[in-house]
Amino acid sequence: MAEPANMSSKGSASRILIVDDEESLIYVWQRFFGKEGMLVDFAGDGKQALDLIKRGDYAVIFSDLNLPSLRGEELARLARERDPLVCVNVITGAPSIEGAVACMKMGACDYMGKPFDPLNLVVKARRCLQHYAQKKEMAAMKEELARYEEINRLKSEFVSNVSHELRTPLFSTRGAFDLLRVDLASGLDQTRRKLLGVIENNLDRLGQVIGNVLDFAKLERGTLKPEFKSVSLHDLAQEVMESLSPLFTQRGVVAAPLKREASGRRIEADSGQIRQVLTNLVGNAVKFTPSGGRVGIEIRDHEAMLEMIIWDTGIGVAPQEHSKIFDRFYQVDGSLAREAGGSGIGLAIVKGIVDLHGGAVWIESKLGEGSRFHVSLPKVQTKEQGNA
Amino acid sequence: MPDKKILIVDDEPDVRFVLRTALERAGYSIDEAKDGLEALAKIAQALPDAILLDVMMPKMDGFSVHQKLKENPAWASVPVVIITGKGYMKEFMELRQDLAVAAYLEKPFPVSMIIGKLQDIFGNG
Repeated sequence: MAEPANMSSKGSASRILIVDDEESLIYVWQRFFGKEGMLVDFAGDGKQALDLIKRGDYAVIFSDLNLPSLRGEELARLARERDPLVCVNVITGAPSIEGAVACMKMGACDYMGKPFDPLNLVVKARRCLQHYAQKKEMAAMKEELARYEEINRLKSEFVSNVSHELRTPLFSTRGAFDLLRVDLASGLDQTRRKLLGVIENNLDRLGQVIGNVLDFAKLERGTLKPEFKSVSLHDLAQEVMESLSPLFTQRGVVAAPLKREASGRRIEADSGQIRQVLTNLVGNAVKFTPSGGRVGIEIRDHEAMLEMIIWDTGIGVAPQEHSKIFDRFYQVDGSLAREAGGSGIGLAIVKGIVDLHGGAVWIESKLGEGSRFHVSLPKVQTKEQGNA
Repeated sequence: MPDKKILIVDDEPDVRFVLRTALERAGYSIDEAKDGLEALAKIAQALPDAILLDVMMPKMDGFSVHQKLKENPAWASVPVVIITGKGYMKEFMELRQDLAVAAYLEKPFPVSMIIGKLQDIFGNG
């Protein structure tokens, strides 16, 4: 990454080319530029100049307007064709407005009359070199940015393709399993029923992971669009707690019953997306709560907002991590965190979806004292949020 | 629900088999096609009562099949349920409300959902 930026300050791109058919002048040029330690090449006519330009990378060119085999403005055009950043200065013994305009049109940076003060030219050359280096660096940064954006686009595309490739086999497996389970519902011993349960739970889990990956890709591309309808957060919370009950059982965590206080309150939201938010938050809470602990959801009614609090009695999150846990791919360090695993996109999706709803999400937690994730959602969606 | 014939169009044999099993249990009779061209040939032979149509298939994709259906007055009224793993259906359908698709389902969906969609289409007959 650092390479293109360095290139501008040294190497062949800082060379100066001087084109003049007056041999006596070349000595003057040589003396002044050489004293400044600048790298200078000379050409006595247009053809020789073009050969040099084709071979070397010049940052600055000083050229006489009247060359034996080529006009100065033509030289300027050809040099700019090879490197659009090169600074070409045309010099003439008979300056005129028309001549200056013609040269500028051909891409020259400056047009000067003879006789000139060699010191002025050295100052000019230095300025041109600096300018060239800056432009070069800018171009390299633009290129780097474009490359980064392209990689990011390819990554999102790859993620959504892979997710698609996973969805079809999952559909066949899940469908076949569901059909078989109806046949097997009766007459199985406990171990076989448990084995069926293992398949079912893990198919659910695969489905959730694939859903998360796809939602993540959509969020990255900006194509995840909520479909706002009137929904009951209480009912959604109830559904999610029920659907995750196998996970609670497996981990030995107690699901606290939902209070009915805000059960009648409805908000405008995308029910599938809010279900995803709750599934990710409750799933996390269960994963990070040791056996015997409790996880629950509270719903609070504020004036224009409904707030959900997903709480647990688990290991908690250190305050210095609070600002980072919603970043994509971020994983909290620590042995229990590592053990729980995860793709590092669950909370990023939560934040993305809550943002799309014009809401806010934050955490209240200390190490060892459990966590409370707050999700605050507006009851009514304005047009702008809907189109966001 | 009997006497309704459903054409399942999907390039994956496993997907076709799972859908066929679920729908046969619900009392439908089933025909299958493994790509868009075969689907059109089957439709020309005998018009089904509904079509379950995958999107990404070799030879001819699902949307091309759908377009051919809508272009032919004899076929245009057959309800089409798009079944896809593409993952961008909601966004796509919002853009293309002109497509007149009866319903769409994104894989993986529970097989019970397809029964529900067909009941909606046939009005609990």
